[in-house]
Amino acid sequence: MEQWQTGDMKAFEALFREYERAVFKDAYLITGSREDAEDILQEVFTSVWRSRHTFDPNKGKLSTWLHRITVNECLKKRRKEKQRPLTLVGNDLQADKDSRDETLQQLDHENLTEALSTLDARHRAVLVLRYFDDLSYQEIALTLGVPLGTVKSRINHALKMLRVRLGDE
Amino acid sequence: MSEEKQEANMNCTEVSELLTAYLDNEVTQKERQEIESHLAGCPRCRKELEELRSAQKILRGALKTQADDANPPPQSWTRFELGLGIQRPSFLFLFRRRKWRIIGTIIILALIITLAVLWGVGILPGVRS
Repeated sequence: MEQWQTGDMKAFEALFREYERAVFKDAYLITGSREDAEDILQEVFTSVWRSRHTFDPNKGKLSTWLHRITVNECLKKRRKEKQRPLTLVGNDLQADKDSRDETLQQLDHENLTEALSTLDARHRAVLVLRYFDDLSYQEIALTLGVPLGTVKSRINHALKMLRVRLGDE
Repeated sequence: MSEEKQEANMNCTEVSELLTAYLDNEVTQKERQEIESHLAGCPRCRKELEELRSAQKILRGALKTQADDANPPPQSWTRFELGLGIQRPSFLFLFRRRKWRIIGTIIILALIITLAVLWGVGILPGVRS
């Protein structure tokens, strides 16, 4: 058993600080909201704290476990707030952006941000796990607890929806 | 001749379903051979492949750019610690859930009504003669 699993708050703080950025970024990319990402970060680590005894490093990686909890919390949050449309990342980002050069690449990114906002959280989650976290399809299947074939078709479907929506811009 | 019939093993629909996995190196050796064989004779699927490749590239870049700008607030750990403090065992935690708040309210109201009735009929000793 790892030190953080014994209830040692110092060790748990070290774990929190090691993974908080990764959890926050995933949550932010999936939900498209800083506010939601902040809440999800808290929910994820509260959940980790409560079930710290159940984690078995021999059965899987800590990062996989954290990814799973993060995605579940994101989906839970989206279900609760289904009425609220995804304002997406872009809106938050827009405020923070410096006046960068308007390169074609940036325009593509902005269009893509818009297109991403039209996907549901489940499809956004697989895209984030694959193209931001660089997880393999097998790791995504383990993280989400779904068959490999489901991951394959979900990523394919999500990317095609993005491609179509980019084409519509 | 239809492009879909050029490859006996895989048609355009089957190839299309595997194109993203193909780009991600997530297909078997056999699937790879069949896809490449189909692509060699199918401009439509080749075009789709290039569009998906481009979408992947833009997506990776966009996600990275967005994530670079997103960091948790510095007080996250403090908020977490405070949250744990609030969640320490207390019977009050029951009242955080709406269901339990309703049940608690009903029980308290029932108790008040019962006491009022008992008082009204003079059952409660010393309250009413």
